[in-house]
Amino acid sequence: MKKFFSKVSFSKKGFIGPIGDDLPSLIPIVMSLLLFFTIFAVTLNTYNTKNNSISKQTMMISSSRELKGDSIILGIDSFNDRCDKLKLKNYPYNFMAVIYPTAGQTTNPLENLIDEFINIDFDSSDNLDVGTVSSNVITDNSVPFVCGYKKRASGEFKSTTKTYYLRYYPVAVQTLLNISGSDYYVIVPGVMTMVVWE
Amino acid sequence: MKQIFLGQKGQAALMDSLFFMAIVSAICTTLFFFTANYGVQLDKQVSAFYSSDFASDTLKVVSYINVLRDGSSIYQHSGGPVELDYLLAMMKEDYSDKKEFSCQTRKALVNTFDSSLKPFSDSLDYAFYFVNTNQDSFLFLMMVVHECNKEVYPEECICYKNYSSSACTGNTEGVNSPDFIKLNYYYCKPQSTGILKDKVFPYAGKVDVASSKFDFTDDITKTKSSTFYDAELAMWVSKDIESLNSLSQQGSEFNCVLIDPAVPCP
Repeated sequence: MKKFFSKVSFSKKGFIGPIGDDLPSLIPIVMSLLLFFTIFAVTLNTYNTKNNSISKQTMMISSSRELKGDSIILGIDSFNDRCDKLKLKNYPYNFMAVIYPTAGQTTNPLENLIDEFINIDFDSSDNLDVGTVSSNVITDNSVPFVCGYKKRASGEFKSTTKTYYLRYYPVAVQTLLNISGSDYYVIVPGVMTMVVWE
Repeated sequence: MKQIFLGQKGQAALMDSLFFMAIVSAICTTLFFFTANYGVQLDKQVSAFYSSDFASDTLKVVSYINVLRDGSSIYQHSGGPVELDYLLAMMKEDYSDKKEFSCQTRKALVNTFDSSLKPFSDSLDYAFYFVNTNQDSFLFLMMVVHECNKEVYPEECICYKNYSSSACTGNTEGVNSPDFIKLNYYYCKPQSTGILKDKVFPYAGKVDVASSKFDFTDDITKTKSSTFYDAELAMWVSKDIESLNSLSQQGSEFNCVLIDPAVPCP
């Protein structure tokens, strides 16, 4: 009994408790854990952001390919068919695609493109309101070559939209054109512009 | 002895924690590099894929579209009878007749490329050519480069190239203004088909090339007498390349003449 007490007495020399005694070693451990979890959180965040960005770009590539086909669009019916098929797939992102004529223009229709996209509205049923599309767009029988899809309850493409992707694709478009007073079905060059946003 | 033993226990714990910190630091460094590099390669691949896709789409448009037979744009018909044709048909007809493209066809090609590449016309230089590597000959070579508009801005254009010379001090501001720079189209007839690979591509940085095969009938009256040409469109971001500085000057290896789409063909 006496021996036991003397042992306890000896171990209490400079002993300030189980945590207090290891305080110098706890500081690097806590700092390491803090550093690790901070870097881990940053990595996870960056990983998700980049995956999201890659996913959007992949979606843009696949949907633009479906819309433009082999870079030729034979009339508004063909374009609208492709557009409807694309919308049916219920893409996870919102998109708009518009075909602009770039031949023989006095002003470049692509100059204020973002403003033109901002002005395009969707109606209450989330269908694109063709009446808000700019007059610069190529038309066939007065119907503009425009395709849009917006998820329910998601925002329209506006100046406040934070992240979006914009791409251009050269296409040949067959349309009814009035040349010198007569109507001709001609294939003209155009640029399909596509914007994808969340 | 026991006291010394107790003290050593404490040092061991501190040492362990320092080792732990070293291991965690190594893991964090690995994670940091992973974060910095994740997706970069994929982004580059997507971007490269888009550029080459854009170039091949442009080639397809050239083979599909209708043009006026006088070479002018459909949207700028100047009156008279409307003669429409496929651009590809005009090229084939010219080849069959004279083995080279007429002024009207060249103008139509200029208008088509101008409209198809409009989104990047401020920053892209390009070459479009039909080449037969077996015969080492170009059927057609069009070089399109950004140059200072000397006719309108002669003084500014001196400083465009020599911006570092003392004479241009104070005149450097705005020499790269889009007002001074013009996209010029040249029809070239170089001696060798390797001139682009030797004199342009190595100095142009990243070059996106789209390629397609076109079959040209040598003589319409004969059957099965045709030659395959590779139609290629090579695009690069506009850059000061020495061999492209004086394309239309006499003695230039490219042997070019300017194509002005505004000037009517004879």
